[in-house]
Amino acid sequence: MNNVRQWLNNTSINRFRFWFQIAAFLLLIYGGLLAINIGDRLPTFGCVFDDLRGGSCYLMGFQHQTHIPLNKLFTGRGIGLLVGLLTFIGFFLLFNKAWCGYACPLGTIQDWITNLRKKLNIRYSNYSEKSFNRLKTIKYFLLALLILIPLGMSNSLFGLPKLNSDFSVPFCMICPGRTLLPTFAGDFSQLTIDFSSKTKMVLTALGMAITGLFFVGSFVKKRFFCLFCPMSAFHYIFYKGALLRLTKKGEKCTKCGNCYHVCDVGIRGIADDVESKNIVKDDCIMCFKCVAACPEDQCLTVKVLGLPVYESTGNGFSRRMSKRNENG
Amino acid sequence: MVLRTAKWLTIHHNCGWGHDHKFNQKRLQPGSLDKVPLEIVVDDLWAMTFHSTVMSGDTINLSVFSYGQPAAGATVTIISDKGWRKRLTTDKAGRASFQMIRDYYPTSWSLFKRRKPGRLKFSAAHETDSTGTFDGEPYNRVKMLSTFSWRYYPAAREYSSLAYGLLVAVITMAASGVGIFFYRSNRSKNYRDISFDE
Repeated sequence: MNNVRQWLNNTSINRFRFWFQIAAFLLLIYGGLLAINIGDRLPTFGCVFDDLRGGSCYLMGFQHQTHIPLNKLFTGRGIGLLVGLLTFIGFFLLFNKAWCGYACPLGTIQDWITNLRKKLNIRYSNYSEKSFNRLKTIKYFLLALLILIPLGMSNSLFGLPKLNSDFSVPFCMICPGRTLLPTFAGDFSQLTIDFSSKTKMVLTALGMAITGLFFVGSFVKKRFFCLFCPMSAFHYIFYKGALLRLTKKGEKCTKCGNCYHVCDVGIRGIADDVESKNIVKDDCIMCFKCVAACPEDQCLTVKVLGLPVYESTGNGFSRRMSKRNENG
Repeated sequence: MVLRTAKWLTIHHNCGWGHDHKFNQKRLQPGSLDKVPLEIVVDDLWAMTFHSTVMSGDTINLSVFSYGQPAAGATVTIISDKGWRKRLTTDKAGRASFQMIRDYYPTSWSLFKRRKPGRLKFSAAHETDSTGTFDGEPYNRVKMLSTFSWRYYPAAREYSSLAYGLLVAVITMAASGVGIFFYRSNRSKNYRDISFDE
């Protein structure tokens, strides 16, 4: 048992993740070809606009279902909303925010763009602490909007007139997942500007502008989009109940900063926080690169149902470093 | 003798049920009954998502069956609610096709509705030499008539533009790329000491 654990702790999580991401990408984008359908309540981006998908993101269904008159909340429609939400939470609790780090096709595309930048020997950017803290609030704003806009289509909120039906699924309209993921299935129809109404025109133009920003942003900043992702904000509401956890023993941390330096999102708290046991932050994608980069025995640990499955060790760190140096 | 049949087809689908049956080819097939004297069966009325997909500009393929057998030489008339009319004759396999007309031209942009349904009526007529009696009355020729209606929508190509979409993305990429390049260039410049001439 100890040998297995030692072997696991010495492995390269990045290589495992690389292949896992490809498998998840193929499953979510092309799974339909094998009649696979995991469902449309997934806590990760698999786009409903992709006809070959093997599963799709919950945000689409959630926006559809929150398009509900408030007086119908306690009817069958409310039950539909509740069932959808509980299914989403069920999926989320299994893998926590590792859905972002290991399964999200949009995250995988960002990682591929990062690999391309590395190959071109172009340096990456990071936000200052002040900018990071400001920008990270955007995802909560987007989450609030994707609930309020559909509600505002069915109800007169704050005495305002009801929004027109062209505001339907507003986040999908600006999501780069909608524009990009169907292209992998050969469908380029989502790259268009919809001129059927002013609302649709603005939303689809915004979607294409964000798609442009997505490419440039991901090229210079690792996991650029994840900082703004409302799915990540949604995850954070339920993360404490998840079966998969990332824990930290603060007393073993020397604040060397390795974990912060390898963090794709750029979470400083992973290094600075020596108080919290559950170290998952709202922007964390649970890629576990921090665990692999930590040289302290059992300082950072990945646990499933309280049982450690991967933890930082001095030996594992040395082996990974020497392998990295050998490979240049 | 004249036999008249009217056909009404509905998509048994609700988005709330999800779109899980998209790969169930059986559910995607248009409904048909071999007990009907004359029946119009239209292909591709809905997509894999069970949403109606007939749009202006589409080529519509249809078949006419008489008691489940192809009705060759049947006359099919298609009439839109705007008065457009098209007459076809089925081939040996009972099949015919036509291109759906675009006939939705609102006077201003604000009046355009992407999901504006237009009504479409198909009627088929087929005559056969057949003798017999019906209610005690002899007949030596049977004329069968059948109708079927559906809806069609403006085509997406009428109101969406890939060129403009890509243009917006390229402009954003170029502007942000240039912005980042100059931001980085400025940051990599050496610190310049500013000295004042006292």
